[in-house]
Amino acid sequence: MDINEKALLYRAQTGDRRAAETLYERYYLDIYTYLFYRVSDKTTAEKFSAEVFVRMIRRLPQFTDTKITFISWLYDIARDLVDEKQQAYQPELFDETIQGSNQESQSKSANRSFKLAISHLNDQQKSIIVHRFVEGRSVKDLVKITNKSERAIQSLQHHALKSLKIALEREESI
Amino acid sequence: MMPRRFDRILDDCLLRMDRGESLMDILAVYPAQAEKLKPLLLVAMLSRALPQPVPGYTALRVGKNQLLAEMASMQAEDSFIKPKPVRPPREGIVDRLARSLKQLQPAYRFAMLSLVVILTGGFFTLSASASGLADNIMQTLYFSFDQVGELFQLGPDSDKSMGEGILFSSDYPLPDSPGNFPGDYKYFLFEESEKNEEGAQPPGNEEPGNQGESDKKFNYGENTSYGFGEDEGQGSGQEQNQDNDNNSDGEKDNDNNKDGEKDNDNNNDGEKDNDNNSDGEKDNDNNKDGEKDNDNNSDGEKDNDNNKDGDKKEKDNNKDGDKKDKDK
Repeated sequence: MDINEKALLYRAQTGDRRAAETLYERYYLDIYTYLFYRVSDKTTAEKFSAEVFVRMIRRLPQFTDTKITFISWLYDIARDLVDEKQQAYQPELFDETIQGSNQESQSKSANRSFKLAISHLNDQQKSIIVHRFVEGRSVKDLVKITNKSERAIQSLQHHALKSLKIALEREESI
Repeated sequence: MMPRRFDRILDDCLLRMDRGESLMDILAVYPAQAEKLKPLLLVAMLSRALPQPVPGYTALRVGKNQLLAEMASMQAEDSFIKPKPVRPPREGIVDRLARSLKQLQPAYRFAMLSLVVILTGGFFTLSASASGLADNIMQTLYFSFDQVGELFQLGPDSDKSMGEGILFSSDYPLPDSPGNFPGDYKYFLFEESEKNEEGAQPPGNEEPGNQGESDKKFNYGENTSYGFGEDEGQGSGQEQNQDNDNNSDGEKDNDNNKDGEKDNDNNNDGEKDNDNNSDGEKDNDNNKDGEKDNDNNSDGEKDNDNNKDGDKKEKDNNKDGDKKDKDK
């Protein structure tokens, strides 16, 4: 965490509205993307994203960056939120809200198959696939986000790709 | 193959894919693992090809408004951290002292300043006295007073001694000085050239044949001490005090030797010597010049008195604890 982010966090912790807005704008897309591939629904992802930032501002006075980075802490809030609400919502899987929905039908079909396949992965594998391949983060970034070692991330991405391949084969066969 | 090693190979292939290498190139690097790697890399390529979801603008605004509303409610509950008060920068010692002085009453302020001035002056005085410069000044002053006193004691033959020059030098080396020890004070007399030709001994290692060549001859009183400074304890009378007085010219010597010392008095001219040597010294008095020597040596000093210069009367009242006199 750089010194600017520390200063920004401190200002937000003291109730600075501008600092809180800056944090929201900086991290909204990451949280939304993660939630979109977790819940597979645009509207639910938007709703959950707003809820994540409300929870963030409630818990921000207790946050300390000694054990965990801010982005990792934010993903933890999103993951907890999804786990809490998983029973409550009925996801409308793979609606046409994704950008590129107006593309060719073949591409739509591939996207739909992929999202169905990813829904069969466990939470860790989903997170790795989304962060590593959809968001395009590096292994070092994942080490910071997940608080795991580089070797564990390499092993996790290997198993996530293997599971996704099996899930894709299953979906295509259907 | 170890699974851990395969994890690393897969990660390396994904990095190559990030850099833009083609699938065939990547698989060519690891041909043994190409069969296993290919399906995984295809899935990874498919995942990367997925479009990024874009949130709606309305949802973004609604989310921000919810955040700010929550902040407002928290501020009402005073749930945020209270910002730490910003400390003014620490002032230095000088600033603090100046502020303290300003707060004092004028009398106390004056007293403080006076104390500082006195302490500072005392410090510098002590430093100056501890240094060698002060010693030089004090010694020079002492010598000056001593020589003024000697001038008044010269008596009726003082007109002959007026030609003598007295020079003290501690800073400048003498050109032909045989005993030119650094830091040692030289006392020398330069006399008229005709006097030196009569029988003056050459100073130092000079040969007697070369004496008459120079117009002026210098008689150096080496290791002359003036009662302070180094080796002051020699004036106790316990040391061997040696007087060398080569009296060969019909003078009268008065030597009061009372202390059992050895006196070498080569008096070749039937003169009267009164030597009251009372301090255990050794006197060598080669008096060959017909002068009268009154040497009341009572302080344990060593006197080398090679008196050959035709002076009639010399008085050496050396009672001040000096170490050694050489009067050539």
